[in-house]
Amino acid sequence: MAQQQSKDSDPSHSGSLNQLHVSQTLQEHRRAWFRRLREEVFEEGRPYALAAPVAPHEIFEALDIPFITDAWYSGLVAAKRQSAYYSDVLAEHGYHKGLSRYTTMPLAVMLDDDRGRAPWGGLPAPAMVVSRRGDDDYRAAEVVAQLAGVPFVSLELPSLQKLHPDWWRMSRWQWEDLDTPERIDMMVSQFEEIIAHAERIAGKKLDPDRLAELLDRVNRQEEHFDEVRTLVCEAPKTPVRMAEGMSQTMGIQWHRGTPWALEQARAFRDEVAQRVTEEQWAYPGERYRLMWLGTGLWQNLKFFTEFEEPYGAVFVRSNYLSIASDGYLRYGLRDPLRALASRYSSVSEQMHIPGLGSAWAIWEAQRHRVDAALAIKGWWGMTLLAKDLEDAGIPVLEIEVDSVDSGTWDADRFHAQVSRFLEERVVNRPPASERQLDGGGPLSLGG
Amino acid sequence: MGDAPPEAGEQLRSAFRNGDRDLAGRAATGPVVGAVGNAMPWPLVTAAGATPVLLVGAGHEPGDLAARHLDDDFPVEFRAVFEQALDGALEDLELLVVARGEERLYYFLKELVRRGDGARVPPLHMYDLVLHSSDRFRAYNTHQQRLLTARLERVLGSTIGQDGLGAAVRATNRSRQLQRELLALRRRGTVSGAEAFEILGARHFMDADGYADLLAQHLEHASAAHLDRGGGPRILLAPYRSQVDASLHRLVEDAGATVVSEYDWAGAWGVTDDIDEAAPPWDAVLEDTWRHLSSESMEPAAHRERWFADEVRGAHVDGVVFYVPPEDRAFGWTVPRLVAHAADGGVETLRVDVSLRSEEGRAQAKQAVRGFVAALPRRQEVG
Repeated sequence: MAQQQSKDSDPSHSGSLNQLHVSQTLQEHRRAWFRRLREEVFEEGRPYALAAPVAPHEIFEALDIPFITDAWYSGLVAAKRQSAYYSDVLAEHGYHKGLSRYTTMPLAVMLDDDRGRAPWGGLPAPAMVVSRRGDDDYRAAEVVAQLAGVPFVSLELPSLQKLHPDWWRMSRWQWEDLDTPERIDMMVSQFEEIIAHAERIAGKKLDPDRLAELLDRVNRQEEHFDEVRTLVCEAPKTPVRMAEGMSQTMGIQWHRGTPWALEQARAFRDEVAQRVTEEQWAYPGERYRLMWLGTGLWQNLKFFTEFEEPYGAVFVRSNYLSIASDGYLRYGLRDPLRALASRYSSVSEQMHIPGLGSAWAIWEAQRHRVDAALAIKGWWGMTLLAKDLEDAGIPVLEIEVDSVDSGTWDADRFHAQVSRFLEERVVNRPPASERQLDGGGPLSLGG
Repeated sequence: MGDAPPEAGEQLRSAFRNGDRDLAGRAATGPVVGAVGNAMPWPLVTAAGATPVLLVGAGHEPGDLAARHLDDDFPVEFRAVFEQALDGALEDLELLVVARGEERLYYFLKELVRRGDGARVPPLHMYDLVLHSSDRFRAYNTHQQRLLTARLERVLGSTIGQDGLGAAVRATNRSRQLQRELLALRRRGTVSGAEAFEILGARHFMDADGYADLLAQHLEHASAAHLDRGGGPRILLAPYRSQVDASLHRLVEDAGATVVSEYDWAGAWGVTDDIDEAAPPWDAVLEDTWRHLSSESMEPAAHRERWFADEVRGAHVDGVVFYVPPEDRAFGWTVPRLVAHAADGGVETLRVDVSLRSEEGRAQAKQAVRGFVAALPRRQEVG
């Protein structure tokens, strides 16, 4: 007991957003990687690809083509508190404020005349741009390609005709059944176009064995993420803050398939496991668990810690760690391009599609022993998802804010909104850890 | 000649305004297949023995059912059709086909059915034709059309033969030829833009032969008349989403202009070339729907914007009015490029960026349009 009290009062457990050693190693790697990127791409003019988060990065990795993810770069701009400025730049060029800013900061930076202001001096023109049609902002990527005068591939996502609410149980091994052959065929065909452009840039052919090796590493990396998730779910208190987990996950995901990413994911898993063994909690005063739905609040990750001290409410779950294992893992790599195509035929769409998104969110909420959910408004399908969570006994609060545009952030208002929500709907009852959730099993929707 | 009954034009406009109302009445005369989204092989439905009807939720104000399930920013037509499907207003449809671009509606309805809340929803079909012009999508698109063909045949108990499909193709082409004549009259100022838009749009709510017959009668009358437009500027309208009524046209024409064209698949943009009658009909219909039917989902951008670029270079357009309200989530990314196309063609543009759903927005839009029209020079006389 004395030892426990000593741990609870240890100042190293509280306050800091980053508590893990792997956050430091991630930062070191990020600096080294970006230094290399700047040397190769910015200074030596080595061609690179600008790609959406849901583009097949593994193809670029397998061809040794540097790539930048537009969402990552937008997050970088947000972290440097410049997203409001660049949002204005877009508006000044005729791209009104109702249009998404989530992945569109590269366009803003390229349009801006003030090169000195941009993070790391701006973004050189890419050699190709890959996006996904249907995402609200994919046409911004099209504009980037046009400005740069380079090939633009916008992936067409085949619609689903059969819907499986328990999709994550099928995705690892039954992906041909889940994603269906003609949909996968269509994605393969589009990937062949990406490969053709990428091979021209790389000056060499894609080696399928190398791709398979990469995908195998991705699978093992995502297995480590799955283990981290299980640790968070099963530990009495969370060993890692959600925000730190998000940064770690995405920092690794942008390099998935590389030996570094696999090693970093393993180190992440090991450190979290050790913290559980040593009962080193992110916030020892944890009483209530919260989940976050939708895109991350990259412009202000500290927000997720603001309700720990007043309420003992700790964020434990975001989409990022969970979709990494449930959406990305594909076993059976005899045809690695086909496995990759299967993943991208619906990755991240499952979180939105009516029924699929709700079933997963409820399952996740129950696993994580969540007391309430906060969500970013504007995530399509959120109205039904929120309703289903409420029906399953999990209160939901939607916040109207942009993931990256700091011009939409109103600290006082959001803090007051969340506080009121917690007081009225969460902390006035026993934590989920101490009670049975409504609905019982993981799929507690009708039908 | 000359005084053919004006009722023909009024019947067509009335058909447009009524939209997809009274499905029960239509179904009483024969099977009806409803479609959400423009990218549909309409002749295939006709050849299967049904009348195709575009679903727009006409006259239905979305309420609590939509609010409980759908996000606020889903378009009002989407919300209306969703509610109608659930509350039985679409029960008389043999099949409800959702075209690519509107798949979210399909997903919502499928889920409500799965939960047992969709007992009155008609049978659903997702027609996922990819409108990218690349041949990469041939196999997938062929598969999609085969699926739809099989489904129509099963649901309607018919067989889509080459002869029947050939006849449907010819009927569609007849409509298109007549529509092109209407567009020519509009450019000459013989027909008002708002009326022409309604007449063009009526084709989505009528059978092809009936539509063509009425349009032929109307054209006979219209070509003998001359509408004095007062020489006002000729406007190309470019709304963020296809319009379900002519209110935007009227707003512009009340300011003293004539709308001669619209970048809207329900209007001029949707009047495409004939389906190839020399090719096997099934293949020709696939090619037409895939590569020629106008849609916001067309890719790549050059393919989608070619028509607009040609229009603003034509001598019949003096100005472009873009309608890009705050609720727009996609069109705004292409507007600067379209403005550049207009500039290349020497055409002035106006951007209306307020929502016309509010009285205040409409007032602001009216003022902006009046100012724009008043200052717009007429580039050259119609030849």
